[in-house]
Amino acid sequence: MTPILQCAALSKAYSSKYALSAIDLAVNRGRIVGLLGPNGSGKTTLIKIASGLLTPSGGSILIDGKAPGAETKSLVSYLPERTYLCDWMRVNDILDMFEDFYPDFDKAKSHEMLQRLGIGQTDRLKSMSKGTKEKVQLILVMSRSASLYLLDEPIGGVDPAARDYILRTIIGNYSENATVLISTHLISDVESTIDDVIFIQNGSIKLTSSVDDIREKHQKSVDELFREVFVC
Amino acid sequence: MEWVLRDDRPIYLQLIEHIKLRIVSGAYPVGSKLPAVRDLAAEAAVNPNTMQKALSELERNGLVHSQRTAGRYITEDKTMIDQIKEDLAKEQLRAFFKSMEAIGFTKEETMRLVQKAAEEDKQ
Amino acid sequence: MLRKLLKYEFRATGRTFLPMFVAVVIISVVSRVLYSDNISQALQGSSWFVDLVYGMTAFMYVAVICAMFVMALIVLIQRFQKNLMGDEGYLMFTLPVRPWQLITAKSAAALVWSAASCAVAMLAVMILGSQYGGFFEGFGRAAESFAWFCFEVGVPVPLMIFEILLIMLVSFFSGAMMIYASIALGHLWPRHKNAGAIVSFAGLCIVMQVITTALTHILDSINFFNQDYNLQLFIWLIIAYLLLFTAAYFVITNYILSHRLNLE
Repeated sequence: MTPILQCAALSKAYSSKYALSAIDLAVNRGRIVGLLGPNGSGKTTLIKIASGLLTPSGGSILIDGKAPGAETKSLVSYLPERTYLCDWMRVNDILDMFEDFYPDFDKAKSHEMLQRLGIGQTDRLKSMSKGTKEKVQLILVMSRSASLYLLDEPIGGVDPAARDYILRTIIGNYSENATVLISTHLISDVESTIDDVIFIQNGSIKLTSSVDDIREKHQKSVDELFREVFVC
Repeated sequence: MEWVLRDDRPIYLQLIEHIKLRIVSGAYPVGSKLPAVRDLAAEAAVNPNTMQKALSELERNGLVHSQRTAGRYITEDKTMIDQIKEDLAKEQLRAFFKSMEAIGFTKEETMRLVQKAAEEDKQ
Repeated sequence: MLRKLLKYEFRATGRTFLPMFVAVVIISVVSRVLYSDNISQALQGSSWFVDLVYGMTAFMYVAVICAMFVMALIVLIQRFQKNLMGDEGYLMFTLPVRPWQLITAKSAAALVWSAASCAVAMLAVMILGSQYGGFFEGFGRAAESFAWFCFEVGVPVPLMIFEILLIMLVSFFSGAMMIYASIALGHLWPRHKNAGAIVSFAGLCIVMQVITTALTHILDSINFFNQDYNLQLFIWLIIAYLLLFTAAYFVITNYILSHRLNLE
C-alpha cells in the first residue's frame, strides 16, 4: 500500500531562510505519528504544506500518491493551531457546512461530542472563549472519517483534563485505514498515544523511529531522549 | 486495577505484564472473553496498535487465543496460568531478597522479619 | 460544490445586505409620506424640530442609498480579503474545492448583491417619485427618446437593452476580477500584503490604460473610426475587450491561489 504521506526533498524557503530543507519522509497508513520538535522547527510548515495552504519551494509532497489539491483535501482532516471559524456562525451552522462539504462527516458523532463538552448547538461562535472554539474545531476534525488527520498542536493551550479528553478521543477514533499526525512539543503527554515519532529541528528531520524501539534501545522515554537530542 | 505505565520501558511490554497480572489474579477469569482491542486501548489510554502488539505476543505465548471473528479468549489451561503465577511470585521474591541484601540483612534474618511482619499484619 | 459555496456566501453576506435593503425601503416610505403634498403643507415650517426631521429624512434617504452601493464594494473586497486570505482561509482552502470555484462563488454573489442594490435603489426612487404627476411622464418621454435612438441606429430596442445589460455585466466582472487579482498579487509580498494589493491595483489600472490607449491609436491609424459608424460592432468590441481583461484577471488570480498560496 502506498504510504499515506510521502515527501521527497521537500523544501520551503522564506526570503533567505529555509523553514524546511530537503525533507524525505514516508508515513504509513494506520499509524499514529508524533511530529516532535521545538518551536520553530518546521512542524507547522510541514503540516500546512500537506494541507495545501502553503506552496513548497522545492521537492514534492504526495498524499495517497497525489499532489495536494481538491481530491487530497477530501482525504485530509486538518486541525490548525489557530481558530478559523466564521464569526457570524452558530455551532449548528458550521456543522451544517462540514456536513455539506465532507461526505465523511458524522453529524451525530459531533453532537455527542459537543454534548459531552457542554457546548450548545445554538451557541454563537463569536461569543466563545478561545479554548471553547478550539474544542469545537477539534470536534469538527474528529467527526470526520478521513484517511489522514493532521493535528497541529492539539493539546498546546489546553488544560490537563481537556488534554486527556483529546488524546482519548484520538485513540478512540483510531481506525486501521486512518493515519494521525500530531505535532507537539509536549512529548510526555502524547508518548503513550503515538506509535512512531519524527524528530524535526531547524527544518530537517533528525530521527524517525517507533516509540517502543526508542524505549528499548535507549532505555529511556521519548521525552528524555528528546531533551538530550535537542539540548539548547 | 489501574493501568500504570512507566515511560522508560516499551509500552507493549508493560501491557503484557499488566494483562498477565490480571489473568493470574483472576481479574480476567480463566476461559473468559477479553474486551476488544479498541476498548482495552481506550481503558489503558494507549495506542490501539501498541495494545494489538501486546495481545499478539500473549497469543504467541498461548495465554490468549483468538476465535477467528468472535474475539480473544483467555486460555483454559489452568496449569499454564498457575505456572505463570508462580514465575511472577519468584520474580518478586528474587527482587525482594536482593533489596533486603542491599540493606544488609542475611536470608535467615529476612525470613524472620517476614514471619514477624505477617503476624503483625494479621492483627 | 459551487452551489454549496454560493449558499454559504449568501448566508454570510445576506446578514449585511438584507437589513440595509429593509432600511432603504422604510426610509423611502417615510420620505414619501412626509413629503406628500397634504402632510408637507401641514407640517413644514411649523417648528424648527419638524424642519429638522424633514431635513434628516432627506439626508437619510440619500445616505442609505449611497451606503448600499458603498457596502456592496466593501463586501466585494472584504469577502475576498478576509474570508479567503485571512484566518478563515484556513477553512476555505482546506475544503475539497478548487480555487476557481471559490473565485466564481464570491464574484457571483457580489454580482447578485450589486444588482439587488440597483433594484432597491430604483424601488426607492419609485416610492418617492411616484406621487409626483410629472414623474411617470418623464419616464415615458425618456423611454420614447431611447426608442427613437434605437430606430436611428438601426438596432431593435430589446437587442439594445440586452447589449447595455451585457456591457454592465461584463464591466462588473472585469472590475471585480481586477480587485481580486490585485489582492492576489498583493499576497505575493509576504510582509506587505495590503500595500502590495493597492500597488498592484494601481499597476493593473495603468496597464489597462496603456493597452487601451495603444489599441485606440492603432485602430485610429487604420482609420477604423472614420468608417460609417457601426454602433453594433463597436459595442461588441467593447464587450469582447472587457471579457478579455476579465479572463486575464481571472487567470492571474486562479494561478496565484492554486500555485502560489502561502497563508500565514
